[in-house]
Amino acid sequence: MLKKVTAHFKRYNPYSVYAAKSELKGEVGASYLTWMWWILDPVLFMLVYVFITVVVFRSQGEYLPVTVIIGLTVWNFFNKTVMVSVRIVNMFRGIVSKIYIPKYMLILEKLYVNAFKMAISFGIAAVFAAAYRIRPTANLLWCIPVVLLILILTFSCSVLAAHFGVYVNDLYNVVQVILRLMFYLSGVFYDVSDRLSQATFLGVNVGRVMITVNPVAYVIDELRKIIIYGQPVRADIYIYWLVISLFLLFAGLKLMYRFENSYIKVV
Amino acid sequence: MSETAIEVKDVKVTYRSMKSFSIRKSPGKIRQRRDCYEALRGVSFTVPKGKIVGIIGKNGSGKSTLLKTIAGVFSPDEGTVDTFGNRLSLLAIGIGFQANLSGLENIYLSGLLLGFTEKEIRRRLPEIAEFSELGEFIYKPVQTYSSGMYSKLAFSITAILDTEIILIDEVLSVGDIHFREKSYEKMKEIIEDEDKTVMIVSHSNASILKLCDDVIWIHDGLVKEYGPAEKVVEDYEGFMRRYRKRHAIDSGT
Repeated sequence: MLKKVTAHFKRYNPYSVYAAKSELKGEVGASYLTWMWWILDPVLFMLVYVFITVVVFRSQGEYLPVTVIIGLTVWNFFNKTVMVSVRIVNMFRGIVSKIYIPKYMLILEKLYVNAFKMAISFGIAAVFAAAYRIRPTANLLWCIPVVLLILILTFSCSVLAAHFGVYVNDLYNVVQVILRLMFYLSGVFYDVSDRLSQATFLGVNVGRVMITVNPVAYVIDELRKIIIYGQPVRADIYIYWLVISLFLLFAGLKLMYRFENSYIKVV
Repeated sequence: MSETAIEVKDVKVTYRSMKSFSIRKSPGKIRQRRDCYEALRGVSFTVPKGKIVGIIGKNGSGKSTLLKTIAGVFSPDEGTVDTFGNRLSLLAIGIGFQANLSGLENIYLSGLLLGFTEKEIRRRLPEIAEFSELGEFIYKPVQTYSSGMYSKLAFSITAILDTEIILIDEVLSVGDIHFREKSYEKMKEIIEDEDKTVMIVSHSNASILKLCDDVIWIHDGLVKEYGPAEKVVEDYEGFMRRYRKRHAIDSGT
């Protein structure tokens, strides 16, 4: 299968890249503030969450804006890519019914678009980190494998969502509810390590459980540790999630290749 | 021995006719909804380079499935389709556009899907734009196009970015009378090009006899006959006459 995936990636990636560029250009052309939205969107949402945390919940964090923007950056990427993937085959049925394209290449197009926005959001996080006088350390390089992990994880979840989304009409609603729950359990606007490291439920450490059952919580937590506190990656949990993500990716691609010739009969 | 352009070997295509369902409406009924239908049951043939081959057969025999399998829309469950690295397109139907993007961007996207590089597409862009007669509309989103404009663009892309293998599924002309004539002439010109290998699915035996060298007769997902156009069409017409007669007796009309 790896050979097939490699050959297909080589053949169809120029399409996904061009389509992603066109979509981004289209977004710029369709709004008054053009590319400014790519910066305003994460900043404004960060302000909303900081306001809620500080004013409503009367909670303070040393680097709250940086903490929130790292959480939002990872969450928005994961959430937007998975949500759009649920309906991706239906969305592109005009294309998939007339010419062959591996369906995961359509997901890759959306992934590229959201990855570009994630990169901008990380840039904003860097600006805030500098404003809060957070010193960059050599451990920042650990961000690369962690970002790679979120790319693989998001892609694998999206492939599975796209496959089942073809057959299950209301999967979109189900995924929406699951992701909403995941949002609150991922520590997007609070620090899992800071808030829950001491909390226990039935004798189990809540913070540890959250990063063991929720990969997005782990990635957000890990990136905060690297960027804000200059710590290295926790290898054991990293490998644990990498193996699970690769397994999910393999299973998703296998399912997609097996069933893709019947998608067109269902959508 | 002439060079082979298309080799179809023991191809089987099964539709797992699992309909989409709603979790809310049908808890526990998922398994009941799955059944299989074999559209192609082991089809094998080769098409030499430069030949024009027609595909005939009654409705539901697997003609369009075969064409779409060769085009790669369906991947076969068993067997192989080899087009020996030749680029291939379904002519006149269009590739399908992204409605929010401009005609120009859709030309690039369609070309990339057909296996052309950005450089090749850029080179042929003026010809496509001119043939489509869209003028300034080429820069506007496809969602603003009329159905005629949409068809013109679709035809122009597949006709100008002509591939080594061309598959035609029934539709032989698009747009208004002027464009229909122009597109028919263009298609004839492409078909008659000796370097192109063409496969045509049609219910019009007259068109098949006029255009094709050889004909494949598909019946119930299998190749019933493959040979010179006149012979196969004659056998097929005889079969259909008997089939209609038997059907009329069975239904008592």
